Amino acid sequence: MAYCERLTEQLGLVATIDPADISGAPQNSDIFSMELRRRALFILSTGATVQAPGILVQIREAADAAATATTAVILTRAATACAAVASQYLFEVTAEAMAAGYTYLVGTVDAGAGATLASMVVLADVVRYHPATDNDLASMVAIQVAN
Amino acid sequence: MAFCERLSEQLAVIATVDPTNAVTLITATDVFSMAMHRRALFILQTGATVGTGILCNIEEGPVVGMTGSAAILTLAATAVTATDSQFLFEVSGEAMAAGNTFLRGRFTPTGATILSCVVLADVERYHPASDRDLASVVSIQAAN
Repeated sequence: MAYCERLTEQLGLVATIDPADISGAPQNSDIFSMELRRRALFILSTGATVQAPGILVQIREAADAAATATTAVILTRAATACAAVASQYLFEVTAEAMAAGYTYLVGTVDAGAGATLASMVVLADVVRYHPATDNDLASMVAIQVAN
Repeated sequence: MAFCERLSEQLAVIATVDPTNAVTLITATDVFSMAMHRRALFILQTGATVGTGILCNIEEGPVVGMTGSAAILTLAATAVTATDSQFLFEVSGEAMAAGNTFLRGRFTPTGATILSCVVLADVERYHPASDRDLASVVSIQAAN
């Protein structure tokens, strides 16, 4: 069988929103650079409770990693279209689709006032500098592998 | 630039534990078959509260009901105490015992815990992988 890198070597875990009640102020994922990457995949999971009208989701591109960075929305999903409980929503961005001068990405979720359980994980491939684990988030504690 | 499939076309979302708050009971992912997959990656996320740890078992079994299952990977509860963190478990099809085709993740928290898990698997053929996503995947949006 042909050699096949582990998924953990192919994909970096570059950003998250940790599982929580995300009601109240909008929550941001970690912000990360697409400089070394082709594609990033945002996976939003909802839990047993999503208050109406739902979760407004925006994937935004930014010119720098500062919290005050100028950002532009590259993907958006209306709250009313993100109201299902115990479900997953995928958002994918390719580097070519980002505007000139914008290198960074961040995911933002706004659930409004009602209790809403959600989490997000963001994976990105790497064009070079494998394994991708070298660029995992610092909060990644362990990788266990069977082969 | 060479053609490159979208990640959502390369990887299927085949199992989850939906984000759950203050869970104290064993939680398990969906059970799935590795018949069409080479590798499966379990991504466990912890929230702001992890009791005194989460015993993590990735189990393989011969039937979808998981009768006769056995752990193929284990991480002791004392090693899974970090809040707001991630733990990755990866299983290759070749590593599974003869006759065992199915996998699931099983997480046993000690004390009130916030956690979620998503499981991704690649596909050797029959692309795009999104054809094998869970029914609970509502939408895939892509910028290119």
